[in-house]
Amino acid sequence: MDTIGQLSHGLAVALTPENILWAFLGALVGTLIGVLPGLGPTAGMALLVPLSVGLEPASAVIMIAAIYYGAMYGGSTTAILMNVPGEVSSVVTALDGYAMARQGRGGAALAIAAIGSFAAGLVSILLLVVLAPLIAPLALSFGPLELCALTVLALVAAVNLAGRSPARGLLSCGLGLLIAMVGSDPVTGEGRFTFGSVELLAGIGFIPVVVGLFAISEILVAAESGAASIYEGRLARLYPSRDELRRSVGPIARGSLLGFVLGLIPGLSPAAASFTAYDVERRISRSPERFGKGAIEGVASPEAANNSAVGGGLVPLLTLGIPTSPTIAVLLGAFLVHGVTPGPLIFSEHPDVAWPFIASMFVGNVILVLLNLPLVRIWARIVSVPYAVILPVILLVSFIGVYSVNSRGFDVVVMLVFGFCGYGMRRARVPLAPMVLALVIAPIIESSFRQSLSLGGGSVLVFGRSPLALGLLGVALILLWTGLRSRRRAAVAAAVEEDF
Amino acid sequence: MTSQARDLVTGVAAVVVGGVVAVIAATIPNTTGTAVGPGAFPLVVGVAVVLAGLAVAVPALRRGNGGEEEEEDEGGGKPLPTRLVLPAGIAAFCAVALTVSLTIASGAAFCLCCRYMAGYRWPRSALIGLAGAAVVHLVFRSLLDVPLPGDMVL
Repeated sequence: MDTIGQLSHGLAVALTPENILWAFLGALVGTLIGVLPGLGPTAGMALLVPLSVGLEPASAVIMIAAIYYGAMYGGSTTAILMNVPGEVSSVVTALDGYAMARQGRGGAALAIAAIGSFAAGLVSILLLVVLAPLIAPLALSFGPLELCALTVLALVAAVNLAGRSPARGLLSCGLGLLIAMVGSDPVTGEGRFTFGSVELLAGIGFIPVVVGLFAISEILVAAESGAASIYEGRLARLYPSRDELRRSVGPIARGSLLGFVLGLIPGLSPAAASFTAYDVERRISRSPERFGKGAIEGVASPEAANNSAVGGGLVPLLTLGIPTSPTIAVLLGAFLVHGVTPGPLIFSEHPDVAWPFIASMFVGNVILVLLNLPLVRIWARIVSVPYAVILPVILLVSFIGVYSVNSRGFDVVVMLVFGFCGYGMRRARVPLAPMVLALVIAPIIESSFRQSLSLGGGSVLVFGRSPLALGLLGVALILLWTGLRSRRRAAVAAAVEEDF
Repeated sequence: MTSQARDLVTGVAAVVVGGVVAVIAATIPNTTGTAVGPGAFPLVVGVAVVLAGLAVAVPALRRGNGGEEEEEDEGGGKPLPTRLVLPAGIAAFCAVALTVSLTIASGAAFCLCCRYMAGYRWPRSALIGLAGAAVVHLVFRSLLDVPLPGDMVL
């Protein structure tokens, strides 16, 4: 049977009432998990895999996959409405999404996030079906040199989020990398920067850091502002205008393609895809000054990229049996629990699971958009709830999200410390988002950096051995240079305007 | 605090932190038997933070030499003790939730926020606090059974 025929057969299985129900439940639970900060897709899927043991293998993986993309979408809801990212890849969505919410346009941001996620989901599944056999070997050609260069490129993209001061972006990135250094050395296992603390040996988790930086600092900033609610005006239009929809088409298309390609790279999380997509969009925009102040493109592109990265990450899993991220590793676990081993033989040995799984992602994305677009009307009204009610809710959700991951009071203390640090950083105009990306990709950049230097006997000239790594580092340098130049020009222009 | 003074403090703090990290990293012994030990990457990052700190502090110093300063209003002009109440309240919420009961901490947080942020009267604030505590208990403990710190009271 050819690919189209197998996909049609898979679609028929995925469209049975029983599997539609599991996909619906998965999307619903995933959305709720994504909304709760801390309990991201990895932890949520890991908690729910044991519950799927009694199901048919196809139904089980359909439900687990639905939890995954439901959580990816759900994470953006609180990021847009409360500046509380439900998971790391939503951090960049909060930049413009929350700015839109503060202008009473939270509904439009949520709707674009839902539409972007839906479109990107479809694009990435199509690419998964068509390109999987061709692209998978290319992804595997990434060694430590290329991976290190790619992560440097992702960090440069994050530095460029720093508005007019790349120095502050670099500082934020550096601090994120420093936080990630705390704990056991990944190679030798000896403690670094733990100062004798047993708790610090396990490292500082990114969930308490992210929740502290964004949610707790948001409580402090919001209370200080003296406003009664996030948005005090009348919510005029809850859905995007025709012009906003038109302006989102390009960013969604570009974010989908970029997210899919970056999702293929082992170790590169969807967060890196959303950061890079945001940076690309701002660079090619005719009015980059709107970004960070409520640009619809700043919501559309990263949302599309992080959802598309999910499809990209499935290529190495399904064709080679290699998980490219912790979440995909949990998905691999779900397959294994049901006696299905992903790899080159999955399509011949288990077509009854593999094709319904892929087809169910079409169905699941439709369910997700049907589920979430009507909810936009309800969610969007959260911005009008008085701060006196919403701030304790943010504090409560943050506390539960952080504590429930490891059941450790220490994580709550870390959240508080970084909450106060985040407040200080916002006052000092040091951007928070680059710090988060640096924290997430620090283990990859450190291990690939050390492996690369070991290959070269300690010399950085080793990067010259790989044309791809050299090319990526060259692109990173060019981006950094053009970023610095454009900001210098903007600063000069602003000074000239002030003089006149 | 002026923006110049704030940039100066930020930059100097970054230089100190980066410098300390670089010094500690340089003293971490290389036991791997390879050219690159566990201190190599922290050393690079520490130096990068020092450079970034200098890049923030030096322009602030130059601006200061120019004699131009802009006063910025922070915290809505509230006095320092008032601005310390909320951070202390957040810390107290976490302490009570961890050691006594999340339900009680939530009820108190809702009640006090309604009283002091929204200006509601005590009876109304107390009612909202009770309702909030009941919802937290029902949803997170009874319905979802989320792992929460041991409720000593409830």
